[in-house]
Amino acid sequence: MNPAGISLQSVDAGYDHGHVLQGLSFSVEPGEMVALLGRNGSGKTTALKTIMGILRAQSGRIEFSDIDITDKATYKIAGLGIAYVPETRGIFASLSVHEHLTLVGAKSGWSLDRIYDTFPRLAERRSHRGSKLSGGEQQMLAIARALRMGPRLLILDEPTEGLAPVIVEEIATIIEGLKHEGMTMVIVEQNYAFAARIADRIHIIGRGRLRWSGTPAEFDADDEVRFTWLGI
Amino acid sequence: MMLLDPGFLIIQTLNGLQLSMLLFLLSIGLSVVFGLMNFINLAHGTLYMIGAYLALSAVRLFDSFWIALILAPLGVAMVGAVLYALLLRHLQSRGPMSQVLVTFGLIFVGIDAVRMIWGPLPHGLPVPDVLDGRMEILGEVYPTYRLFIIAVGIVALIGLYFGLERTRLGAMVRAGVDDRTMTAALGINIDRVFFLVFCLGCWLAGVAGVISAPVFSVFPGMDMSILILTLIVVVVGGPGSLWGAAVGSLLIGMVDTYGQILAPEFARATIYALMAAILLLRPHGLLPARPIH
Repeated sequence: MNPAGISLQSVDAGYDHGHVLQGLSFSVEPGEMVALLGRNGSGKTTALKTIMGILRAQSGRIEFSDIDITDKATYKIAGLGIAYVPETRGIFASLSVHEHLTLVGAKSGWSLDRIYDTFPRLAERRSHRGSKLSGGEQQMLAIARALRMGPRLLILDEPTEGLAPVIVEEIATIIEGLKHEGMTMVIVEQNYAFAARIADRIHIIGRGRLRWSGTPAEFDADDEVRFTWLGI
Repeated sequence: MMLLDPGFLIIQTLNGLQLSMLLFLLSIGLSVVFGLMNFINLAHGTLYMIGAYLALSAVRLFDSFWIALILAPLGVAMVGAVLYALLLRHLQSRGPMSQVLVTFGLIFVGIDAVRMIWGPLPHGLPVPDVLDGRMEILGEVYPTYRLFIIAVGIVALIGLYFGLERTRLGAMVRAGVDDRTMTAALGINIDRVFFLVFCLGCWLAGVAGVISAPVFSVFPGMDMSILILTLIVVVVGGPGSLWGAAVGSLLIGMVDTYGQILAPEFARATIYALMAAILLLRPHGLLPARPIH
């Protein structure tokens, strides 16, 4: 694995009815784990979709590992080494667990054996279709599928949302393991305690711009920032 | 009374099955392409007609139905590929209206083109010698060639089932139908997958054209009536799904065949009524591929 960094420079993007991102800039260093925090509608998910080329940046520039990916097609961005686990998990209803894991597979990615060792639940369910999985199983499958791609940057959009505490713990362990291996990660979280526990750095997004940036310790200490941009 | 005669039932069911299999060969390509990209190609019937005409020329050149069966569908796939590269590719991002108008226009271009190349008169294609006979099936005598058509459809269904369910390309197609954006986010070039599926669909339409040529006459506009039935199959079966196309073809093929005999004056009306009823009860068709959220 060869972790890579990413940077957004004054990115404007959004949907037909208006800009959600309004000059968003932030960067993630190689091997760093960054948590993006912000209220609902602040632009976190939009930022991730724009990185992936699912939404087009109307202006600004996105660089991954010093390559300009602003106008690249989604499949090419993925091919450069960015794996994306969307909020909706993106599990295919008609594919089995095993098919999800064999659909993609890079040499640099995790082997099937390693995946099934790390996620025993997926091994048990390997012939089940995506539509038959529980929320926690879907989340694990989405992460496992991303790891099969051998990413240099892993993007996780609310990986713990709506999951039972036991499963959240299991996913936290896996994410921490990836961090120890030096994987560059961007994670969007509503669970601030969880985010502060695992992240190296926290970026707070509010109304489509970067509002604050600092370490988890600084985040804990700064009551005003937390109140202004997160309401806590 | 006719319905109580087993001989009548067997013959008509085989006729219905024959039509069903032709409809299946035509509808599966249209259906998967629509399921993958929401792309509607009304000129799909034109490719069927071109298949029949290319078979005509290939038989004249090589004097062999079997060579025609190999070459003509490949020719149709190439016509499809060129059409895609020059025209259809640019329609993908446009709305359904441009797709419908342009591909509807292609139907008339196709009819005029075959009229200019092969002439306005109907042609026939002889049944290949090996299949030019009759077979006894369940005590009834039935033309061997028509059984061959049914067999081709069944082989195509089995082949497509394995291709779709057991290969990586098939998994990519299903993934693309389920969630196109996520498929691209996995690094899969969905446009290329779509192109391959489109060409395969054209190839199957070409096969349908070749094998139907010895049974129906080959003439400019032969694509019109089967195109309507094919579109109904796609809608009734549910776009994007192999089983939807198979079940839809069987249903429409049988209803049309029995309808023509039992109540010829209402046959088409019956089909439209059936389609309307199914869409009222199941707006996404009988067996849609896409999960309904």
